[in-house]
Amino acid sequence: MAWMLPWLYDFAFYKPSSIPNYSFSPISRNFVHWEYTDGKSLYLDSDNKSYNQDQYDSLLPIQYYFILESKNKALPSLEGYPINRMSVGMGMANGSGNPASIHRPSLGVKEIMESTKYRLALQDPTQVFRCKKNSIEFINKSDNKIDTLKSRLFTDAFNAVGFNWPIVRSSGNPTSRKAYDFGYLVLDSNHEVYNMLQIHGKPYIKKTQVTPEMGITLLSMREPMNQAYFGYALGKNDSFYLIMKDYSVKKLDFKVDLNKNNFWLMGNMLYWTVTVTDDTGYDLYAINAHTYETIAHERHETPVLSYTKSLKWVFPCTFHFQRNEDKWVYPSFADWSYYALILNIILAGLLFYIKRRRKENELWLPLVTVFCGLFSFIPALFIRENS
Amino acid sequence: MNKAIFFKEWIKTKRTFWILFATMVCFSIYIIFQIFHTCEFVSPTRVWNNFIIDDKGVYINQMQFLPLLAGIILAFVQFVPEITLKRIKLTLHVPYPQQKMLLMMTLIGVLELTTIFVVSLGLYSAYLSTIVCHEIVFSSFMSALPWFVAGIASYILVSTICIEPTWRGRVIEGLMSAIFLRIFFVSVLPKAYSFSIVGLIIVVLLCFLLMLRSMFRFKQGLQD
Repeated sequence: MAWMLPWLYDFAFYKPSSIPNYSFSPISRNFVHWEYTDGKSLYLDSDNKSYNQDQYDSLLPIQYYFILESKNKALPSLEGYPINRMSVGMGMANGSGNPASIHRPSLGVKEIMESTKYRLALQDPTQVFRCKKNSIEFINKSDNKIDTLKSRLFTDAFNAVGFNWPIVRSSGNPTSRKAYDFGYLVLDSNHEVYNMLQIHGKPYIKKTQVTPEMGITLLSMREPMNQAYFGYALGKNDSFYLIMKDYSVKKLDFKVDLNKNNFWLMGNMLYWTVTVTDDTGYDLYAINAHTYETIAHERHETPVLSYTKSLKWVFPCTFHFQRNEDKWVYPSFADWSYYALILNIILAGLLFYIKRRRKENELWLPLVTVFCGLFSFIPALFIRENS
Repeated sequence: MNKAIFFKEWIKTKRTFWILFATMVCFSIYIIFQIFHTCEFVSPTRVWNNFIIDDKGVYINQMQFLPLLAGIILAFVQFVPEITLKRIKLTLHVPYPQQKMLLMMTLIGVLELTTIFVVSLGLYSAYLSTIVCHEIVFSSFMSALPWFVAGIASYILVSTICIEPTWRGRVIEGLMSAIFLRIFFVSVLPKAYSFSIVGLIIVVLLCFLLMLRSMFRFKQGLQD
């Protein structure tokens, strides 16, 4: 009941809501977004000033460069930087994360590819690696056999740079559908981060300037086109770091806790727009893509939906096997509410009356209904003495 | 006496057992052939890739509802004649503890299903372990395990519904069983049930208590 009734309630009344897609405009110097309401597209800025589609395109001259170019409205340069197809493509940045992306089952092996290009193109990974207590082990996909020589080479290479086993976390993008490969970012047990590459089948392990004090716990290999940086890292106090091409570390001026927050980053050659959501709202940050300084910040509260408001009056809690925060299946309670006690007491009284009319003596059922509400009221109607 | 009960139940279910056994094993072999075909005509790397990008129990998900169906069929075959031909009345009047009698009857069904499931899943896993590493085999096994536990659960719950003497009780038990069985299918992500599968197995075994309840109601002669 506690599982199915909230599900039925969701099914009947839930209306999805989403956070608009914000971008920082280098023209108006504030956040602009578009939303689709009542069959109409609305183009708005932070002051709720409305624009038409053409004006909106012009407010984001890099994001909509190709559209503006087709109309001969593209700007030749902005803030001293030339705008052309090459610079627009090179400056793109993106990234995202949410609690479910880290709290989910993992396979236990990861693919690794050759970082050097064969005849101008990257090749798909032919091996996987598994992390062991004091070593790393490579397995050939073709014959399911352990490549002992390569495993020893990589283990020795890690030992040579002072790696503290075991590998706690690693992040890479082992696909040939990208411009270049920068291997894996690897976190050791001392919260230090290393870059692992396979070059001509040989290991290339380099220690980054991440210090244990940063308390890095999560990593994300990015490999942007301009190669200015190659990864994100999340550390102590919800700090967000960029791992730069020269292995230095740059701390950005916003906080993300991926155990609680959804985060996404969309950027161009001039500005990145970062959105960090939490239970009550979302923060927008505009980051200078060259200096990595925060140049604008806004906080927006999410309106409480009537669905959420009414839910707390109906059910004392909800029961779930799946949550938005993770990908595991296990039973858990959520949305505890004292407001539902009012309905519970009314239902308990009603049940007491029904039981008395039926001349049944199961008076413990109304008592249970005071605490469990609808979840016990409905089955209690079917429970009859001597049945 | 135990041997006699086992023999009686075996005579009743052996034909269904062999049909279910053959069906499940054939299905496993069919999946094995699919993997073999990919290895021979594409490459083993493709099989690895399918598992690495997998988020819905690749290959094995083709038999997702088969164990559930097997459990339901076996329960019907074993318990419907008991009820319709009133044999259960005689069975429960034999000088032997009734709970134990019912437990024995259920146990043989559970053992038959377990044998079928172990052989079919074992065949698949054994073949798979020659192609991919043990982490992937385990992941695939864990994808399928909830579906096979659902098979055992469906057997016990459908048996309970069969023994239940009143239609009102059957409808309520049927609804509750459907909701309970839904739990095993809420996610197809490999290893998603890692934290809960042991608990679910315990709950499935506790479902036998529901069966005892239906039996007592049957003994009391409750009717609609």
